[in-house]
Amino acid sequence: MDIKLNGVTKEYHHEDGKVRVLDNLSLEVPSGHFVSVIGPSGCGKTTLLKLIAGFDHDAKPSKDIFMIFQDSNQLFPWRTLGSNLSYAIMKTNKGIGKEKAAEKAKTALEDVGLLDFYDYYPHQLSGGMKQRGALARALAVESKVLLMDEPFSSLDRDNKEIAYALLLKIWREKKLTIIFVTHDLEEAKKLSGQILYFEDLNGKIPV
Amino acid sequence: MKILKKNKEQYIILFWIIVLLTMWQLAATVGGVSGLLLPSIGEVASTLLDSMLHGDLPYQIYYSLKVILMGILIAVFAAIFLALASQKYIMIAGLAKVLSAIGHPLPALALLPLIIIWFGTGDASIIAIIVHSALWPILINLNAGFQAVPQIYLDIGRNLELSPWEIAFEIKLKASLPYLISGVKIAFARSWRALIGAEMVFGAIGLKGGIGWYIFKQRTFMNTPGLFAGIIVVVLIGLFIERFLFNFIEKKTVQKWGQN
Ligand SMILES: Nc1ncnc2c1ncn2[C@@H]1O[C@H](COP(=O)(O)OP(=O)(O)OP(=O)(O)O)[C@@H](O)[C@H]1O
Ligand SMILES: [Mg+2]
Repeated sequence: MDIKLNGVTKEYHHEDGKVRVLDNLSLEVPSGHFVSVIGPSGCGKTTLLKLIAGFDHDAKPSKDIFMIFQDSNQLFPWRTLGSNLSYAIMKTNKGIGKEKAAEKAKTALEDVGLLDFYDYYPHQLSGGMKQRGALARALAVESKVLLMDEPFSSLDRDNKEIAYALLLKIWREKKLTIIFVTHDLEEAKKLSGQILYFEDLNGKIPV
Repeated sequence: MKILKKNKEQYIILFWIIVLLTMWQLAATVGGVSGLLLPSIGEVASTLLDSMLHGDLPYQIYYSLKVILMGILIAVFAAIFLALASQKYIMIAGLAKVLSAIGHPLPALALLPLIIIWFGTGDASIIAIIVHSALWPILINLNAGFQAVPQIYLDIGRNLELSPWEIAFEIKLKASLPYLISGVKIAFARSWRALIGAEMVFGAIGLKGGIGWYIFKQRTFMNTPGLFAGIIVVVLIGLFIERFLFNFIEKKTVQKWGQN
């Protein structure tokens, strides 16, 4: 699935007027590519991903383009890890049975090395495990494009390395399209051959 | 360390309970306080036992618990309905605000005469009193809970293509459960007080009335041990529900989810 933005603009309204965060921004990511977008804090990376995901007011997000957030609390705390996944599966595949959904959830958890934690509640998992769980949920619903918003920034060095290796392996195996935003050049380099600078995409950077 | 401290606290509580009971017993037996004013623990216990075995008290307890449960359930459903509707319609949100601003500070007993005129003195009135006592704190808490639902869950919900209905019940309601539970706790405390008071005023509604009526009847017969027995029942049930029932519900939900 290609991602193509052609001169998009996004403004936020503040008390003291408007702030234009995305200004005539263009971006093209062909299907199957892994692109890192790098930019300093506050430049509009999250804004960009949310726009691509379709979280803007009247847009309609779909599970094909799935967002993975920086916040490690993105699994629903009231469901176990397994139930988070099978719930997501059942809601995105109408008519699939409970057992089939649980089976698919297990496969996805196996892919990220969390099968043993199927019955754990998110708060019983470490930050790195929760992020892998969020990744597994995107795999479970068979998303085609992953929008990753600094998902590993709160992990320590070792866990980051584990997550990078895992993400690259999954990207290759599932032929996903990935847009990975980060403010860390080293991270961007490790993950992808294609690094885009936010300022090059955007017409103007707000200060 | 923490466990030790908790244990110590329990011993202190136990100590004071024993001291208070001993003082009571001493005042009633060797202290020369008239049995009409302060019966001994033994008398109260035997009256309580007698009322439980041969009297209407078990039924009255059942009645009071039944109506309070019904009233709180109605209040919970009404609050959920109003809070969800407030999310969708700004007109309803305004209405809910006005109504809870009026209703929340208004003691149920102040409404009693009006409720009698409107609904008579049957079950409907008692339940109306409970609903009034319970609805506003639950609604106010639930609204606060809905305001505090993390945006990230709502975004994920949309990403999973959930319907507005599913977002309401899967995400908003579950994410707000800690708020809902504390609302129901306040609601119980308020409606338990109002219920006992209203039962005294209403007399034997239902078949034989509730616990409030049990206490009131003891007074008419100057049966002080019975009065004490009734008060003890009110205290014990209140304690049981606040300490054990709510703890149990929290343990099975928000605590299990790591949400408090
Ligand atoms: N909901 C909002 N309302 C108003 N302004 C916003 C909103 N969200 C973001 N902004 C503003 O838009 C700008 C870009 O924010 P954004 O979160 O997209 O940056 P970011 O690149 O993701 O930063 P970080 O690396 O710190 O996560 C910031 O100046 C921020 O103040
Ligand atoms: Mg961001």
